[in-house]
Amino acid sequence: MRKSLSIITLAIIASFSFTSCHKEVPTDIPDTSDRFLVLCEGSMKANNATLSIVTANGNLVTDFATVNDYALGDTGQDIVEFNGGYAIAVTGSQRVYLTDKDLKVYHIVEPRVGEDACSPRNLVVDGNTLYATLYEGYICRINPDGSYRTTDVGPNPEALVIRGNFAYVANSGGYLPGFNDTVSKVDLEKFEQVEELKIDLNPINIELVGDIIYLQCAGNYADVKPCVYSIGLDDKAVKIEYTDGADDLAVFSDGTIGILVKEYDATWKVSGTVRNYKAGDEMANTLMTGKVNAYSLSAGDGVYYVGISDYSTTGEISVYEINGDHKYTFSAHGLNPRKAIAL
Amino acid sequence: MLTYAVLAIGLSNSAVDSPSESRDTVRATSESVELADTLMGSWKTADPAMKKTNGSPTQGIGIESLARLGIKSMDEALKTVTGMTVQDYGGIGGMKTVSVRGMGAQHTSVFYDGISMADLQSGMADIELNNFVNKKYFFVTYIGKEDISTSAKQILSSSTVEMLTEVPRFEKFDRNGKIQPFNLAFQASYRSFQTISPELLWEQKIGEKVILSADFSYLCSKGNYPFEVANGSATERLLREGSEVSKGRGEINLWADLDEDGYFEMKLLGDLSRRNLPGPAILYTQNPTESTSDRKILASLAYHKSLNEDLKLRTSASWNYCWTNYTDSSKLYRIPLNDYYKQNMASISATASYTPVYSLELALAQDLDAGHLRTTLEDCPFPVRLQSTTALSAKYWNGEMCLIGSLAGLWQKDFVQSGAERKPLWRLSPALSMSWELPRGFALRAAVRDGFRAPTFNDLYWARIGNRNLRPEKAFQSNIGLSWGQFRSTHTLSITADVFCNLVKDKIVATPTLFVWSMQNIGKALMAGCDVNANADWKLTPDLRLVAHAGYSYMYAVDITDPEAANYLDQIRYTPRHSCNAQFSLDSRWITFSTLVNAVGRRWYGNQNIQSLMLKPYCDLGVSLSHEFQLRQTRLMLSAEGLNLIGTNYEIIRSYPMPGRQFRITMRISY
Repeated sequence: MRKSLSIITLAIIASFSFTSCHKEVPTDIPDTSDRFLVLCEGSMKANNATLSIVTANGNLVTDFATVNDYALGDTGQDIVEFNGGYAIAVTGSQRVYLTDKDLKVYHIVEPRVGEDACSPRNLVVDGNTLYATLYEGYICRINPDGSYRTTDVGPNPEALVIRGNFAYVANSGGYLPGFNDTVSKVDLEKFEQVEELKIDLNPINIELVGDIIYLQCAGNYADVKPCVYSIGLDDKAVKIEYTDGADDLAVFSDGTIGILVKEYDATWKVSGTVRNYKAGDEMANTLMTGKVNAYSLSAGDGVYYVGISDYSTTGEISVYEINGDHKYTFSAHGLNPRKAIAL
Repeated sequence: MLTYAVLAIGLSNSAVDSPSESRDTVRATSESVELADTLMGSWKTADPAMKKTNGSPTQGIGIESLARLGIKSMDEALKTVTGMTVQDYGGIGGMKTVSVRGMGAQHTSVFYDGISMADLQSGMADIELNNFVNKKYFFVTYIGKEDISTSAKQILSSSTVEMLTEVPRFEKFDRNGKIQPFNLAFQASYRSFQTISPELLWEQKIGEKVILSADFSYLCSKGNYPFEVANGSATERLLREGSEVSKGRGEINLWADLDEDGYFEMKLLGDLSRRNLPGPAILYTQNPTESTSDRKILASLAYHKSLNEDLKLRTSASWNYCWTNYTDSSKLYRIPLNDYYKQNMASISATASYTPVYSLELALAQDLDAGHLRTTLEDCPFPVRLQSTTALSAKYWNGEMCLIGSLAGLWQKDFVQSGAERKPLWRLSPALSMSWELPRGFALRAAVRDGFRAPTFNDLYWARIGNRNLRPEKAFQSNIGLSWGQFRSTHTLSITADVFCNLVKDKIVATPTLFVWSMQNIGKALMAGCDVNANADWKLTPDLRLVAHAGYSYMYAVDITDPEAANYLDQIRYTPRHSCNAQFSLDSRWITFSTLVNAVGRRWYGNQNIQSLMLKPYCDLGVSLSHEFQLRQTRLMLSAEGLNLIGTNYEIIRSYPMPGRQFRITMRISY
């Protein structure tokens, strides 16, 4: 009670002392000219996704909205390098932007199936062709001129990879009661699903390292825990038993698969651990641990990026050497940083 | 001036001189007919008894004010209350909830004629569901409850919004010069965006002991208002799609004076609605796919009895049934979503108040509640809740001073069909308020309260997100106020200023855990600020009256959860630091003109107070013109209102633009 009264007294004084309290996101100040393209999801349904060019010391160089004079939209989900520029999937606004290197948009793809607008989720590039999952249950093949074609896959596909002449699509079933447990195998020549691999509950991330596909299944957020599978050329899925959770995957430039695992302490603060694993190894290698508010994992040449987010304030990107040494951290200039690309 | 019919048929058994019973006071005396109006500012009242009781600030809006300002719905009425935040999701039929002094909607209990309107599932009341038939009083109490002879749940509430139905008056004479035993009124209004709303009211005096009133209303709207979205240097002008709403409501009230010292009140209310939900306005795509159908039935029976001059008993029983069908035809679902929710809530309440000596009143209130929720959702544990609320209160008044103390206790037990059962909740809530009348029309008041809110069914049992180990959210409230009033036959002036400080601990917030969100007791928030109200009511000439009100609220409502967090001491989202409202009306024999302004400062829709998360300030200006014609036995009222005349599509909730400039015309025929 005494403590409460003290807080109240202080707060009354503070309430009439402060008018606005703007806090800068703390950043390390590296001695480098590195620049990054950072995609932030924003908050769902709030139209505040951002795509920014940021220097390693946290300065904003420019962003999508400044270059194009309009906002990116709602929920920036994925970005890949494509056709000499970038392709950006914005799920809530149901758009895929094709931009040049300077983020200037040259095509906007608004995928539809029949009369229904669809929500692009994740992207992958195969030569001159861009593939996007559409959360309504399709994948979409997009050409550099913006023309596209769709085909059916499983429910609520999240991510996809291309191996040979086939696309493998993780069908999460995120909107289904009880989730889904399949990966669709799509023949890219016929552009139709030829097989549905039954694996585990809630597949959401999929990456390709060499010929091995790594699949993250998120479980049911209750008694079925998240885990990682490897899928060889025979399409047989093998559970990687050592993983104690998996919240994001990224392919590291040394040929390993990076795995982000989040843990929560008694006060529900998130602590992130990054491991990497190479096919054939017995154990995963722990690169770093204890990263507060770790949110996402992406990778670049010789480095990996951990997006930092508490879901409500401006996020950050922490850059690590591939061996786990921390390089620096800078502001993402948006909420919920999803992916970073070195420029 | 004719008095209420309740006087004529002898229902006026309430103690007029008792300072506690605001509701009965309203009903019982001709002076009190004006009571709610004069309570526009918490101390602006000609009733000295009320002045003595207001240890905690109260604001009221009466029938006369509502008519004068052209207000036609509960949310419009509550937007005129200083320190009140109406969360409006936009549209004609969109959901609307209320929050007092930034405490959150679950700390603000809404009562309709003494019956709690909050559902068990969300713990909030959707005030849009309460149609308004021009026969209501509204009272907002910021801390606890002044009327100690009320139900235990009301005493336990942190803040209350009460909507009270006026007992019909029979003022007209028939051709034979006798009092006409019935009133009939038909009202129809047309509002922009193809909104039509007819209402019918029938009031009947049955013998000398019983009054019956029945009203029926219907509202249908296309709700397709235009709105603008600023995007870069361009502005897109779009139509809000998927906002169609149709709803009908019927309500029957009966008051019966069956014995010398007691009377009955009965209520039966049915509400049917179907609403398409436009959802948030997402850039580049509009694809509304959601809709709800709602059915509500509310039945209550209350009996008020004076056992002797000192002892009064107030009992009631109520049943509240809610049925909701939520559908979503989005292609994200393989099978369109079609969920059903059904809630039953039953309550019995008894309050005994005893006045051993003139200056002391003691009250003991006991409420028993039972309710359950059934849904077609997977993992629904079909919770059943039993709850007992007890409140012991005392009020002492002595000339210029009034002291009120209460101790309320809640015991709550949930039973579930699956999963672990939650531990029973048991908690006490003490409250104390004092007021002193000072010389020259000044008065001082102070109140403190240590309250809480119990976790709702959504907090506890919602699939994947619910957490059965939640503790109640605690709220410590305090208020100090000074008022000045001058009451003359020609004018009334009053000014009130209140400084408040509220501390909310163990705040229940959704927190990300292992990729999904879960409800946790981790938040702390502090709300400190002041409310200032000024009122003037001036009879300039026998035919010209000026009524003005201005209110300002400063609210420093900040997050104090984690000093290391980027949003530490940042303003809580959707809570304005500055807001004000003003009303001005000129009432003449020819026409009544009024303006209503509601201005709200910048707010943030995220937890951090940065430019990119800011919602712009807005000002909502309304103008109303009305006149009533007397055509023999019939009265015809015509009114025209301009709403949000500035025309901005401001956002109260991010991505839910409000309608711009609108017009409404209303015709009412009373016989």
